[in-house]
Amino acid sequence: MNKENIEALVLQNLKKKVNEDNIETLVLEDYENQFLFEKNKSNLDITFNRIAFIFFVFLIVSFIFSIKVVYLGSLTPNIKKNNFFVTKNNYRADILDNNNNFLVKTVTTIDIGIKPNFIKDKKKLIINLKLIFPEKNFDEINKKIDQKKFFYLEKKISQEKYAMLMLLSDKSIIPEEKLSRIYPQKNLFSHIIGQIDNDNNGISGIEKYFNNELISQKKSLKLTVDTDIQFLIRKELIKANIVFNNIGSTAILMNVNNGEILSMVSLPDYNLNKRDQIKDVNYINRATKAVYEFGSVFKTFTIAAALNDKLIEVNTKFVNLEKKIQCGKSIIGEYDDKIPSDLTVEEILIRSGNIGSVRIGQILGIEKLRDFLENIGVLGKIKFDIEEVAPARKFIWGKCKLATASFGHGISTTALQVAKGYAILANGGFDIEPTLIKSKIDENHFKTRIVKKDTSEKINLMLRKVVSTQIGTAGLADVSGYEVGGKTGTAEKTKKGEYTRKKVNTFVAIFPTSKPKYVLLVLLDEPKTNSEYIYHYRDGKTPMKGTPRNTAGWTSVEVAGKIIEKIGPILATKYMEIN
Amino acid sequence: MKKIIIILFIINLIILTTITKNSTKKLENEIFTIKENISLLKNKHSLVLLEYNFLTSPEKLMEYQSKYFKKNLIFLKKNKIKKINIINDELIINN
Repeated sequence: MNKENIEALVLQNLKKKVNEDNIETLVLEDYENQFLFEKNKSNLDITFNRIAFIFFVFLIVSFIFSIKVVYLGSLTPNIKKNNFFVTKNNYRADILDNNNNFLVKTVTTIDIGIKPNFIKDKKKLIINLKLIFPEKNFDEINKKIDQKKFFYLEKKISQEKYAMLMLLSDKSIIPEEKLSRIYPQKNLFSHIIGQIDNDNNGISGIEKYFNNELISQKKSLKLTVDTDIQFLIRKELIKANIVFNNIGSTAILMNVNNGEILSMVSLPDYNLNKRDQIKDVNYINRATKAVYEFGSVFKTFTIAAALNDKLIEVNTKFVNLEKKIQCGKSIIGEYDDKIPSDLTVEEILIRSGNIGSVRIGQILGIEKLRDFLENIGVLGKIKFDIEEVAPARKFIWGKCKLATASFGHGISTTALQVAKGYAILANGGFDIEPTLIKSKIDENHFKTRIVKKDTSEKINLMLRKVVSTQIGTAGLADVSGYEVGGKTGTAEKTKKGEYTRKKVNTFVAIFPTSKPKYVLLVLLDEPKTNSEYIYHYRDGKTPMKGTPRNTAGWTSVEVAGKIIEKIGPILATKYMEIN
Repeated sequence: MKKIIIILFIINLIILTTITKNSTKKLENEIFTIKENISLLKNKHSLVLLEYNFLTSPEKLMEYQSKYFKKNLIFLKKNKIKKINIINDELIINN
């Protein structure tokens, strides 16, 4: 029923009433519109159902989400440890030397950047910055601001300048805290410590090998190296580089009883603070990474192997030794024609006889010599505390390889492995692992015996005679009071499989031989003779001018003698071991 | 009477708790300040140590020696080193 019909019905009723009562008064009666009331009642019902329905939907959704949250919460995280993750961690532990001196210190530095979009008053900002950084080129800074891109105004600013900048309260100045590694010893430990990248990840040396520990452990990493000793050795090597004009050199000083490395220098080195990218191969770590043929240094191993198997004795005599023998295409001869043809084992080592060593090698045989070299860690890959170690090398063994390997040719290894081999021979035959980490020392002390005690004693006595006797090749290292023993090694470098005239001169010293405590290896890479250098003999003979021969006895031994002379008092007092 | 005692007891407890809480808060603040100061001092100490390590590094010492002293340094010979033992408050010097 529409509105007009309703109105008509009301008027009709009114007329009826007027006519019935016959009065002139018009009475209006209340009219109850039931239709509208019923419609409202129905609307209320629909709204309630809708609300209930929406509430129900929300309840279901929240219930599903709750189940998912509980499920995720019950899962155990499966995060794999990765050594090569990239992280901008805000911490990196310091590295200390044996005497708790800082070798590396982490400091927090602040870099100041500018966000041009946030600049409100450019002129005012430039004036303020000019006051704080008067030395800066502001034409360039203006250009950078106009480019509207974020740029660094100054890196590693001082606390004073930082405070001044903060007083400006300019939103466009963005300070960024960064970690910075400081190396107070500059070049001294560059090959040991290594470098880190901009993301606080180690990329070489100890920084790389102990990356996880340095980031996670809230404790400084203490090394075995001694700064004073390292400095003195490096200084002597630098002097040697000037005298003998070699392209590089290395020296390792190690405690024979526990493998503790007190010093490890490799030249050339680099200043860690400069954070240069080192690409020149001459900067290789000559102590651990570079492989060389070491020459006569290996004769000690050959003799020790034969003594250990009781195949020879110190006094076993080899008679009628040839001056030259042919093996395949190559001829093996003595370095000195004055070497007699009848030699005892001891004389072979003292006089560094090549042919005698070949004969001992032949008595030993391939397997025994190879196994002995592997056992003492001279062959194969060494386990060490830095990444830069030489990979394992494979050699094809045959009669000629056996002959040449007996006197240290045709077989290559690293300086660290040779030092380890000598340490084992000197310490009574106990296996050790060279280490740079102080906390590893205790677990490394006298593990297993791999060489017989009497072999070790015999070798120590013979090595002493190499230095102390007139016929020995290392008289220049006979520093009074230290009972130095050792063996020289002069080898020719190879290039594309051919021997060249370039030399590698090595001397491995152990001292004191009566109770060995230290092994010192000195290697000079491509030394040359020096006609002006004056040699002061240790037995008081008249000094001699000029290097007579480019052999280890006239180069590396001289350097090792100087080193022992300098570091000896420190070892004798600070370490209280040499009596 | 009992009610009054209980109410008084509760009020007393509330007051005591408030006082304890206040004093604990003060202590906490003090501990925080001290900790902050210690960490600042530690930081300062390590920086001073770094400076000391740099200034007393062998390289620097040799530099100072050549700059300020006329005589060159000499290395000590092994036979010049004496061993000092203290036995019963007596100094015994051995060669």
